[in-house]
Amino acid sequence: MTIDRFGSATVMLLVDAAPAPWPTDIADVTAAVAAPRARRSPWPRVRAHAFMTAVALFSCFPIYWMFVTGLRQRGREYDSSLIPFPPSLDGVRYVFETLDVWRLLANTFFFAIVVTLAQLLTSIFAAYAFARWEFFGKRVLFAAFLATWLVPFQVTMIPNYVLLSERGWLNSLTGIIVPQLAGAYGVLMLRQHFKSFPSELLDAARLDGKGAWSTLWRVILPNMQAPITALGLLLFVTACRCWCSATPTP
Amino acid sequence: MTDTLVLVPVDNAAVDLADRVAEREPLTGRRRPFLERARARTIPYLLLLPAALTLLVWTYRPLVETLRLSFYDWNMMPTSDRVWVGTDNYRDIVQLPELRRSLSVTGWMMLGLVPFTIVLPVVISLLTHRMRPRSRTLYRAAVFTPVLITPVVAAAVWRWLLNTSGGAYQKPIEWLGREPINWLREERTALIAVILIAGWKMLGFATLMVSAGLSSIDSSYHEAAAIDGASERRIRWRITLPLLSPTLTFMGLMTVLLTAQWLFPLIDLLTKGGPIGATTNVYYLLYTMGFTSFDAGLSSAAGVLFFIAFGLLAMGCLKLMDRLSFYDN
Repeated sequence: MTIDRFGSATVMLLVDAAPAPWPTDIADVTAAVAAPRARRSPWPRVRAHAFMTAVALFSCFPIYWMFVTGLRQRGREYDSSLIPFPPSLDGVRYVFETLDVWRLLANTFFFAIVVTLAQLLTSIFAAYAFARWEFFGKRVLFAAFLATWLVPFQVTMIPNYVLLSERGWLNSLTGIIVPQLAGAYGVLMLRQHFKSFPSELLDAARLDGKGAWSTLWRVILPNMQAPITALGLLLFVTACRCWCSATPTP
Repeated sequence: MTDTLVLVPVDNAAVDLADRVAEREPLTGRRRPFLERARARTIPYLLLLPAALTLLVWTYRPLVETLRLSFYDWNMMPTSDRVWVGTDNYRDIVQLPELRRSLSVTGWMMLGLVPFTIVLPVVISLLTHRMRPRSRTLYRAAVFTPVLITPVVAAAVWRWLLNTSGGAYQKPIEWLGREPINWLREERTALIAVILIAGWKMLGFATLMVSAGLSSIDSSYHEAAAIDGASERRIRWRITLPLLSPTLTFMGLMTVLLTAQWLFPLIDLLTKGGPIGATTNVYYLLYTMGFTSFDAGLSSAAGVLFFIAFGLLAMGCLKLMDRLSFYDN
């Protein structure tokens, strides 16, 4: 039951992140329609909007500030005027002159794309195994996947650093890609979706004489585009922002 | 751990089906020969292999290695020897004053983030849930935006905002005629600043989770209660929030287990754990011991202790979740 709760939470995350293949949106709409709007007094609505405006400002002002600071003239970055005047692109130019931005972007994208594709593939396989088969050691293996959340980067960093340096992978893209070829999150999330796959379709696949492998590729995955896209986006964004690499330079 | 984690009702129809696919010929239903059946049995293991191997090599092997290192004295230089010191590292770590400080800092951080991971997301979700779709999307998107900013950029922007010479967030203090506060450099305020910045980043994620939980609640309960004459307030407290409790306890679990990890990059970028350890949480302490003091043994011993502590905490939380959660079934 506990696992289901983990799973359902991740499913919920997806429902909002991308259009789900099953009619969750309809439930959302009916909930919105059913919730009665305050009719008598406008105050509750005004209060709600005032509060939400404040929260939105709290959330977005630093991001606005980031853009504004980027457009200030050189030497005036710490000005506190709300609108940079006169705006200048000197800062942007400076960044391109001093840093090899294209190389950095290429590194980031290469790393993120490889990690995303690899994690998608390993997650699909593992989730398929967990969702469709009963096998010896399944419970232990599943618990082991979940428990990786308890092992923080700071606990594994020293042994991983040693292993990477033994392999000669320090200061290379390989060194940060290989440790991240699989992750527990994708497995847990996809397993939940695979489990809710309509069994009529699987019956049909069986009658057509399809094996486990072609059922996965021809029947399940084509119907799983939404969750897989959502997971892919999530993995990609996470990988792009990845700061805690497996190779912290001492 | 296992006894709380394995209570999954397996989808019987699907398993049955998969077994039939594996063991019998598709159309005739004839039992397949032994070798073929054995091959079919290895399928799930083969499918699990890539993911399991990666986690084994990069998570569980280092965990065991950390356990081993924790009994040695070693400065991480490949040329220097590892000296067996038994449980000395554990004794030293328990007596370390920094550890006690970092534990209390971690506790305060968890507590300080609860408003951002549970209280505010619930308020925001409930308020926006009743708005028109357009303003609802707008507000929720606004709250979500900081999630997309990397910790490195977030830290830089907040440093400008809190800068003592003309930072935008110093202006209101100036207007009040007070001296500017050096939020990140003063022992009293650094922890508050770090919690606030982390909360700013987490609010969007938590709101997304809570609003998703809210939209998946069956609206017929709400309607039934409304027909029975229950007031909005009563419906909210007696129906909506109890039905939301699985999501909320899950967020609580994440706050307890993951804040120490989530806060790590922000601490490193904003304060480096300072001033005088005021923002050093347990994982930042681990990191400094490992990669600043190069004391692998001490750092590993602390890592093992934290793993055990967080494991116990997780079990406690899961037990608590079973008690507190109210299910729609």
